[in-house]
Amino acid sequence: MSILRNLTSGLRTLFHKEEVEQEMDEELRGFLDAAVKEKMRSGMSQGEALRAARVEMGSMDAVKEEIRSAGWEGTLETLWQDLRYGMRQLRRNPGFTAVAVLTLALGIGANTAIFSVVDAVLLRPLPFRDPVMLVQLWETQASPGTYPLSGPNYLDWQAQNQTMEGTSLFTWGLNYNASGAGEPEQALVIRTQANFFSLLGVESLVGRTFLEGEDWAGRDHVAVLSYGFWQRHFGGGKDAVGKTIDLNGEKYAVVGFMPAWFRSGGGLADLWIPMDMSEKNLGPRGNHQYRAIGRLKRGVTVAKAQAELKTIAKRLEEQYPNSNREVGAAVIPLKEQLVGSSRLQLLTLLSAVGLVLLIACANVANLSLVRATGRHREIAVRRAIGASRARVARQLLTESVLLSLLGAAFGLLIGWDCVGILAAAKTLPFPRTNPIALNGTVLAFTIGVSLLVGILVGLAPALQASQVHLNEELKTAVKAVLGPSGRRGILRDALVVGEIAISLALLIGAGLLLRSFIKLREVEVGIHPQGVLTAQIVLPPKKYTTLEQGMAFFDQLLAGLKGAPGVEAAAVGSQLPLKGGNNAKIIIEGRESSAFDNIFVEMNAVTPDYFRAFGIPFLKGRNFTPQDLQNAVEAVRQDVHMSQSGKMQALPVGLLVAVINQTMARKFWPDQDPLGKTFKLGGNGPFTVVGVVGDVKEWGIRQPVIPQAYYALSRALVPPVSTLSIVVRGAVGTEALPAAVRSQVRSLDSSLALFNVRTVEEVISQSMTDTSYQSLLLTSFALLALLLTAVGIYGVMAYTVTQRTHEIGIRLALGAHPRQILRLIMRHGAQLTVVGVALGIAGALVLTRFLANLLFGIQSRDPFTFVVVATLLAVVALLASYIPARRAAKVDPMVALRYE
Amino acid sequence: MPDKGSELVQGTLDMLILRTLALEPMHGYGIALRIEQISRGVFRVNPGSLFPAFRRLERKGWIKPEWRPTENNRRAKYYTLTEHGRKQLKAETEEWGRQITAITRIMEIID
Repeated sequence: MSILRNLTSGLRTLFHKEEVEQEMDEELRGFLDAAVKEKMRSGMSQGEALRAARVEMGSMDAVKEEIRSAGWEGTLETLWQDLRYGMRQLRRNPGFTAVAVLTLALGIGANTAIFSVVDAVLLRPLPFRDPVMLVQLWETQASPGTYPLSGPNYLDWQAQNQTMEGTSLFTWGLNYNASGAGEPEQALVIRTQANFFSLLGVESLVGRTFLEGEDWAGRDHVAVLSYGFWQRHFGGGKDAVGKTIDLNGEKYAVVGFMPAWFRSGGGLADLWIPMDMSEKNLGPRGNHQYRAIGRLKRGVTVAKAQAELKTIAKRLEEQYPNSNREVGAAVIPLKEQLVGSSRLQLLTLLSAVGLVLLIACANVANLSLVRATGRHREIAVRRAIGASRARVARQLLTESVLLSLLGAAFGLLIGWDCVGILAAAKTLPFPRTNPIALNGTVLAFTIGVSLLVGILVGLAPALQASQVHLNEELKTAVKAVLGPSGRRGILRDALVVGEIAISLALLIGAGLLLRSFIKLREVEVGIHPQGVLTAQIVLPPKKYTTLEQGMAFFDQLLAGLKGAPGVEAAAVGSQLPLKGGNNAKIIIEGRESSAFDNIFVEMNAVTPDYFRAFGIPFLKGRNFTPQDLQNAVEAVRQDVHMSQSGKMQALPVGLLVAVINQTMARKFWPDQDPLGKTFKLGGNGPFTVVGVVGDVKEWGIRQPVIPQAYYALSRALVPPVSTLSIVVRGAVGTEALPAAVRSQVRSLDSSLALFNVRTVEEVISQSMTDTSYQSLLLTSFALLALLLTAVGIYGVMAYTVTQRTHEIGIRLALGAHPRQILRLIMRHGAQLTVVGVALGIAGALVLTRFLANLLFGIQSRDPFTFVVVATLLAVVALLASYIPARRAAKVDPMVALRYE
Repeated sequence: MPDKGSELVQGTLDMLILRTLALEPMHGYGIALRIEQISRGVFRVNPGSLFPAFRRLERKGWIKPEWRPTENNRRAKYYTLTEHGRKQLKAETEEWGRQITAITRIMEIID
């Protein structure tokens, strides 16, 4: 009840101010009259009584002020007054306001932009039903890391587990020729179990997703399109449902398409089709080629599900010792799976941009301090007429919060722009689980940050103002000449030292990342990348049903390419450098196979000119001969025949040959000549080593070189053929090559399309986009920080000079040399720099440890980087002090002496 | 003259005002005078503390203001204790008594 009364009473005071004031006046005057009357009754004269009563009462205005502040509306009024006063002040100093608002806007805007990404990727839940219960399943092996599942293992997991409501299997992205609607293109297709969409809990935009049972041969020729594919090929028409498209020569009926936000397969999937879940179609137990997701039952934890799957895996290991040795299971929450690797990057960026904002705050705080000294008179007057220290401080704080909110308003505009750019960007080094937008959370963050900034920035001048000595300021006479270590000077100096320290830390971080990036670029991939083009192609199994057809195609293609003008060498391979991932375990006759359990050997099926095309040098032995190639084809035929007839027999030794890389030679035959040795790889072989070539980074630029074996292409041409890569080295650059390759392919088979046509240099630089993004962003932030710091130092030095003009004049008049004045000021600047750099190095030593995972080829405490960056910053800082120092040295003593 | 309310804590002043009004409705100066007289001059409340207290008590619903005409065609604001106020006064009196007893006991122990 009293709340209501409080509210209405307060509102009445606000809206009927006149009336309430009059009533107050009336009551107080009545009080005075009653007091006078009482005093007169006790014997005073009217004059005496009046005087006494007035003295007792004190100032009427003060009393009224007290009454006003007794209610909640009083605080509101005060706030409103403060705001209006603050606005007037800001308007009166447009220069200061503009600089401060701009500085804050930059800092707050950058933070808003980065936070929107953090929000979209790390904070918001995945856009699926009950996303916390979704997990991804992996197999584990003896060596660390997670591995794709094998089909039969998955089926057993599915059947035997109790902890999950459901699981769904799906493939990696497969390339299919898509035609029959609009332009034919290479589409990235993901084959899934029928319950894939329903497990995730997503609905199609129009039409439907898969029905139960559609993941069985005969019913699986349906397709769900992605939004992008639907737009590109059906123009976004709703009537697309029911139409058919052609995938690798087979007809699929379109049953629905997904909304724009739904992404899988790294956001690039074009369509989803069901996979045939029959055991025989899923491949042998030893082939690890699938992924799977699962949904936990209510109340089941990830740990529990993982423990159960591990138990099931152990059971399978006993049942199938050959294929399932050391095969375990891992369950990872889906969110972690998708965004976990970006967490460090994003948090680093957010911290960096936060530090930049701190520096911006320090600058504005310094500016405010400078301006505050000019307002001492004003504050003294206000204190004199009765404002309390708290009141003055509150008003100053309100002013700086107002400033900060203004900065935030502009900062939001900047942030909006940035968010728009980020959201529209095609490729970002972050997973696109949620769209990046300026939503409520981001807005709240921005407002919260700007309030904090406002308080931070306002603290310094507010603190100072509350200590203003009334007497001194009200007189116009001598201004105290405070040396650099005066009380006010310390706060400013501390801010500058802080700025220097933070800038240094940021610059060192950026420097480390930059050097990582440079080192990455210098990494020896092992090939000569200039002038080499690669393109990928898929042979649809419907059309290319036999080994001979595949061989014929590629033989003709290579013959045609070799004859084309400008082509130095052409070849085909199943893997490209930096894009490996096809590997198996090696078995060497007569050696304990368990010794090689953790060592994977990369397999690459190639044509003989592969090495010349990539510029991979031969170190020993020889390349494949035509006889080798013939033998290889013969071996494949025997293999196929054997598996068809059910008789498994080892191939005769000497039929198959392989070329190995140096790492493989060193690893398996360390003190021997590897030529002539034999080995088996997975189910393939036995191979005889005929040549050794230089190492190539097959797994990626940051990964070490792994053992690699190259053998004849024919093994990879047994249908169904997976994606193969064409490699062409141009005699004079790569410009003419794409057209040449395309025309050759078209002349052989016009239904085939090439994709991923890139030069090797592009492939290499694309593998470094992550690092290049990070270095770029962090360097920009660090440079911004450096700029702000330099401006801050300059400002403080210039102000100090102005403050000390009188003192300088005296010194000059007493015979000091201008150079001594210069030294005097520079010494101050140098002191600040030294302390700031020392603090910055200490801070960097602590903080860069967190960057360690992002670095490559360089330690987080790399002394070279530290020294170079510190020197750079010191030079900039000293330069920023030098300019005002020079001005000080040029001061005319006559003018200075008169300066007050 | 006693400083602004530093000798009389806000809560105590509120209680004294309520007690004063328990006898009869009064206007501002009357209340101040009564408190001063009955406390034999120990407590002198200045308007700077008194009137804000009135507003507070009014907002809490413990006293009710009312303009009454005086002589010279003027009017004065009289405050009356409400039912709520009476209850509050009773509660505070009890609490005050309890505190006083406790303090007295402690003070008498320390010899």
